[in-house]
Amino acid sequence: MIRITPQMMMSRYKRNVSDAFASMNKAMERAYTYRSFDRPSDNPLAASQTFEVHWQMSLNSDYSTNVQNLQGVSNTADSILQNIDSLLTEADKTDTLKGIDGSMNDDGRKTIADNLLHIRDSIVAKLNAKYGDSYVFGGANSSEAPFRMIGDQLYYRGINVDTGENQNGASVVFSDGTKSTQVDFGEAIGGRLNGYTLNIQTSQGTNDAVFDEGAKTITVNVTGTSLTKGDLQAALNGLGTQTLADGTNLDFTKASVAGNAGDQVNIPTSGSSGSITDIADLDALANEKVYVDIGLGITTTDGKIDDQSAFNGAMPGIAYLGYGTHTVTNDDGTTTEVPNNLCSLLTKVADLLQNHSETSNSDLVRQVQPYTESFETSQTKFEAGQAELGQQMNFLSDTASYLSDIKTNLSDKDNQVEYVDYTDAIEEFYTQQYCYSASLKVGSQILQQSLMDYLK
Amino acid sequence: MSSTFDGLYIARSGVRASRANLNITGQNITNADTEGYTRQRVDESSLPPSEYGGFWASSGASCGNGVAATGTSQLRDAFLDGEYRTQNAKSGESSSELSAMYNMEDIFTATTTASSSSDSSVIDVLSNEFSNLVSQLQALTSGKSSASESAIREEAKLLTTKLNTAAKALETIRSQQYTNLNKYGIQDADDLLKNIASLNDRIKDAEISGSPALELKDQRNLLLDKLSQYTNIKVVETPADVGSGRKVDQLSVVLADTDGNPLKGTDGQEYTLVDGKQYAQFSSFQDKVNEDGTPATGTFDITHVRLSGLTADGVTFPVTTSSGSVYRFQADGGAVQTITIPADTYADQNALKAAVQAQIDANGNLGGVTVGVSDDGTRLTFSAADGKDLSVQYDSGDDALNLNGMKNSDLQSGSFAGYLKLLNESGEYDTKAGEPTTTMRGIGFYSQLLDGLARGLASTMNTANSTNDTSDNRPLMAGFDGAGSESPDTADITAENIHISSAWTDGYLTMSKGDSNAGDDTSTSYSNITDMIAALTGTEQHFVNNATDQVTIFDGTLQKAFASVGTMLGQDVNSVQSTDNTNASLLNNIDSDRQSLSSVSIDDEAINLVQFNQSLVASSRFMTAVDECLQTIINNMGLAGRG
Repeated sequence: MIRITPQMMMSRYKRNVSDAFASMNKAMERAYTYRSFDRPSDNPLAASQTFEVHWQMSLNSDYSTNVQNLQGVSNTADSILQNIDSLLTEADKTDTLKGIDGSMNDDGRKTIADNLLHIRDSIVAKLNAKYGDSYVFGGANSSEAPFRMIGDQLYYRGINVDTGENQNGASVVFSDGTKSTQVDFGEAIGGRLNGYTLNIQTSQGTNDAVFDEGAKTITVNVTGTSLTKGDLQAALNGLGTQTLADGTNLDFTKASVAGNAGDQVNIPTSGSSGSITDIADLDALANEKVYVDIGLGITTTDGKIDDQSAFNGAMPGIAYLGYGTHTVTNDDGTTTEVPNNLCSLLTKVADLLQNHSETSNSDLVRQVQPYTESFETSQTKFEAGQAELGQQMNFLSDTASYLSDIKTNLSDKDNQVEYVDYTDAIEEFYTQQYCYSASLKVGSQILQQSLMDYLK
Repeated sequence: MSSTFDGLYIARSGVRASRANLNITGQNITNADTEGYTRQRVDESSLPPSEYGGFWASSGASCGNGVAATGTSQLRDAFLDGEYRTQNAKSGESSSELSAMYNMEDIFTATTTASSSSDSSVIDVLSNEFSNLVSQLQALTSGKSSASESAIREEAKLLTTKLNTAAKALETIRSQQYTNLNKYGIQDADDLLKNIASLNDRIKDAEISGSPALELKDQRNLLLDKLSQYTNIKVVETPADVGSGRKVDQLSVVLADTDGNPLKGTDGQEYTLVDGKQYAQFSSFQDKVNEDGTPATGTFDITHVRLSGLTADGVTFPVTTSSGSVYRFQADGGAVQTITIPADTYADQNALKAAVQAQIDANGNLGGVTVGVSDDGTRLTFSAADGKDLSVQYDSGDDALNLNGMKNSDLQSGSFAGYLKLLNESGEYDTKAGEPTTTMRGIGFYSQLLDGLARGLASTMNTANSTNDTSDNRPLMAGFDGAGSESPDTADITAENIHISSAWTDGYLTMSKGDSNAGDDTSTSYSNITDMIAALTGTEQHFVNNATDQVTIFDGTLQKAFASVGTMLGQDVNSVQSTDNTNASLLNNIDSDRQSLSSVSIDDEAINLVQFNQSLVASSRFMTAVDECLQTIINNMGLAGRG
């Protein structure tokens, strides 16, 4: 039999009262915070779940913000496209394209031409619309107004929408397979270096460049096997002004290499050359993508974001209006380069109406015909683009409601893991309070007594 | 045949014994609540008749000579004391760990009121800040009007500041824990050792003069109990001859293993803490050297606890070393210098002193270290120039200076072991390739984990922002190199020094890396920011302890890594907490067993009071009876018939 002494009883009692008090304190805290834990060690599992839920909620709120912004941009774009669509319909009416027939006189032609040019200018102005600080139809460049008329030519981000000619001059890009180096030759040189090749020869010369008009090459001779971007630029600038056989001067002092001067040039492993051109790839421009993470599970392959894993928020204006040209064979066997861009088509038609030198209206009508036909094709494409935007807007609104469902689910889960049920918390508090009072009461009875109390 | 007055002697012995019992009962009652008091009882034996063993056989009824109170003793069980002290060491270890880990936990979590509701919420500080940064990046990609590069920069700055704060807070905890160990723990243990030795001396004196010194033993037991919370001890009592054939128990205390058995050093010697009136002293110091003498690779100092030789022991001359004695000297936190005292026979302290001084001077790295002789002339003393710190530790060979070879690993449990684990161990970061993890996740684990996070964050952000082949230009985040200048090199980045690069001003963030047509600015596509988000939240990272051993610490995205710190620590705290609870309740059980035997029960004593009082009354009554009997014999005998 174990011998029990008052000291044992006291120390046990002290421990138990203190435990009961601690439990009551905990239950009390829970009853006014409703939290299931105060520190992760109280309940590591609930804590890790809670932190995960917090992260998911933060992501969800980011995605929602992104979707809302995209919806704002798309709505703006959609209403602008609708506006343009009605302008295009306007352009196809009897006082405009449909009015071009054999009964026109000079005034009539001028009126139609004026109308067409007016519509064209309205379209261009509308395509330069902004949402917040950014230009809606700028594709990957939303900081500058994308469209500009220079003379009667339409430029999209400095690039002629029909020919692809870059107003800012020629450039060449060469790559070592993973990264690339871009050289810009400047506005003044323009397209005069088209057809030339930029060669880089390692272990030759002293980082200088040689211009050869006959072979149509610019050769940069590199002392060793590597070259910094700054050295490349210096070598090209070192060519100074080269005079061609026809007497034109090429000023190389404005040539520049993109990136930091100290970085290495990505010298291609084979060929070590690149073709210089001022003709931009319009297809690439029209298919630019600007990815926004809206919770589709963003993934990357070789450092590039996978197409299906993020939302493409880019809306390059030329993708809607059309770009480039196509060749039409006339009845008489001659061919005409007809632009695909709606604005360019309007310009062309107005131009023909204003400056026609044909003897009869019927000749004029025949001349205009390829353009009006092309106009209709491009208009159909425009409407297809509009429909595609509509689908994207549907997708965004679906995503928005999906995200809001997820948010509700996450809040529910947060309530489950992070907080306790109110009733449970309060009931627990009363239970603990009862335990504590009971232990005090028991103590007050057992502590006072000993045999001494009964000895006479 | 007993004498006439025998009855009186018997009665007197009864009265004496009863009074002794009553007094001891009184002593027990008055000390019922004295800490450490052990209940006492009178040792009694009945006295045999005086004829016993006499030359002449006696006839007739013989009667004993009453009762003898031969002494007082304690009701105490040495086995339970041993159990208690072994368990107390375990409890001391887990509770010192737990209190530090609670402090660590506070660094990583905070309670906030969420903006969306009135409920307060426990948040993980680091991962919360991390998601704020991601949110800012996200806002920029979708063209939210309030988003800007400067907002991102501010968030990045906040995140690095949170890492700095956490790392500094861990270092503060480290220095607090070292102060706890050095200033309070070791100080207290040293005082206890000194007091135990002094009590040993007093108890021995008392015992020689015949007193059992029970109250002094209670005091000593209490001190031993306190000492046991610092380290595992084994208490041994050995009979020592005090002359004229008398023996008294001499108490010694040695370091024990976790089972309570005495520990033995490599030379088979036990680590004696107290032996009679002699005692050893603990000391601690920090340096950049591991216990095995290899240089420490971590960023923090290694803490060492050492034990001196017994105080009064000193060195007995002549000293002969057969294989030379190797000692480790470290002056003012510098590199450890190994000094070998050549094998020789040293006649006296001056010869030994000269030999040691010659070795120190020859070393060249210990300038200003001088050797002296202690006041009592029994040991050598060492001092560095200008009162700087100096530690001298026994390494190997013969211990000519009589220093103790105890190492950290000999402190197997107790709060010293707890502190040492917290301060020195880093869990998985200590693990060698292909070996299991044997050390605890101390402060070092979490500080290195934070460093890993800081490096992961910096390299992810820097790589994402860089535009060159080698991915090392335009760094967004940097640390400081050895010379104190900004460096984005991963090796130079720690959680404590990570900060946003001073070059980061508006226009520094790489918005897009794609090629564009001449003169066309495509940076507002923010394609690189989306890549950065993907790298921060989607790219799997592999955190390992170091480049050589490659032990996995964490696999997953950077976001998950940030979120893991708080929960990892939470789990660790939770497990130490339950160990500590178990230890505390085991300790309570053992203490209950001890109290069951040793503590005073007022009821018992009340009964004793009645009992001994009654026996006193009875003995007194017996004396009266004898007195009356003698009265009759002396005064009334032979008066028959006188009328």
